Amino acid sequence: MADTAPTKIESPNVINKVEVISDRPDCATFIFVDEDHTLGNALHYVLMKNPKVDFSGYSIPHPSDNKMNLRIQTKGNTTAQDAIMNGLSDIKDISQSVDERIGEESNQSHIYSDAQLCHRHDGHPTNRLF
Amino acid sequence: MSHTLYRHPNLEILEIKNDSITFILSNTDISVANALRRVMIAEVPTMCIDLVEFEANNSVLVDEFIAHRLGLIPLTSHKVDQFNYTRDCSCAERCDNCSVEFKLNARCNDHSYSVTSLDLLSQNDHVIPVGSSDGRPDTVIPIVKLHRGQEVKLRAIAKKGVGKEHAKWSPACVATYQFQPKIVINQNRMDELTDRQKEEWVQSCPANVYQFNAHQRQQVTIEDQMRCMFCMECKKKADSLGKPDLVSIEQKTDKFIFNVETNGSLKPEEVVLSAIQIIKRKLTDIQTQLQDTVN
Repeated sequence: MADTAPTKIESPNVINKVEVISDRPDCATFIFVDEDHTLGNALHYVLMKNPKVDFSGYSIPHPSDNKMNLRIQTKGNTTAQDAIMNGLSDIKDISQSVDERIGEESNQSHIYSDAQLCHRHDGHPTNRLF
Repeated sequence: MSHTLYRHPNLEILEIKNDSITFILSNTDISVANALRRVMIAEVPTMCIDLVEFEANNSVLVDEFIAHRLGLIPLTSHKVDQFNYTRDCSCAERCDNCSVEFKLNARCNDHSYSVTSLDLLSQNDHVIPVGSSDGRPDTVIPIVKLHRGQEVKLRAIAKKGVGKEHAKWSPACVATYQFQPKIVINQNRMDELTDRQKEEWVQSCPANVYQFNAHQRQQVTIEDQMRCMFCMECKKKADSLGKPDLVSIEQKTDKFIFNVETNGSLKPEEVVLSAIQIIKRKLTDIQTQLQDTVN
C-alpha cells in the first residue's frame, strides 16, 4: 500500500476542543485545539467590537502545535465566558446574513455568464444548483 | 447593543462561470473576509484518492509516483456530504459510506498508450475524475505513458478529506480577495503636463488602468480602476514628472472583491456555500463545548 497522505490531522470531533484557564470571572485564556487564524482573528475582531470587552488578543504559540490561545479581559460588567459566547454568536449572525445574501443574489440570471452552454456531470445545468 | 451594523455584511455576486465565481463582500472586516477565504481553501471537504494498491506496474514510473499522481486527480464531489470521514465511520476499516473504490487496468499492446483519468473506473457514478464524462480529449488527465508490453493494474481508494490535511483535497485553485481601489486623478495638475508627458504617464501603468483620449481634448481618464494592483508605478512616474499630487490611490478596506476558481470537484457556488456552513457548524460546536466546560 502506498499512502499518498503522509500527515494526519486530529479528528474535528476531539473531546476537548476548548480549555479554559481563568482565576477571575472577568478574564480568561481559552485554549482551542485544531483552530487557527481563521477563527482567532475573526473572534478577536468581534470581541473588540463589544463595548464590554477591554482587551482581546490571540496567538498561535508554535506553528507545529495545533493550538490557538485567546485571551479576553472584560470591563467587569460581564464575564469572559459570556463575552466569548456573544462573540461566537456574532460571527454566526454574520455568516447567516452572508448566507442569506447569497441566496437572494443567486436568483438573478444575469450573473451566469456561460451557464446555458454547459451541463454538469450530474445532468443539471449549472444555474440550477441553488 | 450599539454594534449591530457590522453583523450584516452585504454580498453582491458579479459573475458565476462553470468553474469560477466573482463576488463583492462589503460592510465587514478583513478578518471575516479572511476567515471565509481560509475556510474555502482549507476546510471544504472533497473526495480524493488516498490509498493505492498495486497489482502490477512495470511502467517507467514507480508505484509511489503513480499513487501521488492519482491523489492529485480532482474527483467530482457534489455528493461529498453523503460520505463520512473514514475516522468517524462506524466501519472497521473502510466501507461504501466512507470511501469509493476505483480500478485501473491498462496494458499496452501497441506502440504506446497514454493512461489517463478515463481509464480510472469508479464504483460510484457520482465520484468520477473531473472531466471524464465530457468526452472531450482536452479535459482528461494523463497519468502515465506505457510502451509495448508495459502494464499498470491497481486498485485505488478515494476518501473524504479537507485541504488542511493535504492540499489535494482543496476544491479551490484560486481563492483570493482584493481591495477595491479608489483612484482620483488631479485634473488641474494633469492639465499642466504636455500631451507627450500625459501619454508617458498613462503608459507607466503596467495594468493599463488609465486611458489617454487623443481626440477628446487630450484628456486622461480612468479606463478600469479594478485593474489596479497597487504597484504605485504611476505615483513614481508622477514624482519623476515633478507632480507628486497628480494622482491619489487608496485601498477601500471595507469592500472585498473575491475571486474563487475551483478545480472542478465542486461548483464555485458550492464552495462558497459550503464554506459558510462549515464556519457556522464550527462556531456551534465550540459554543456547545464551552457550555459543557462551564457546567
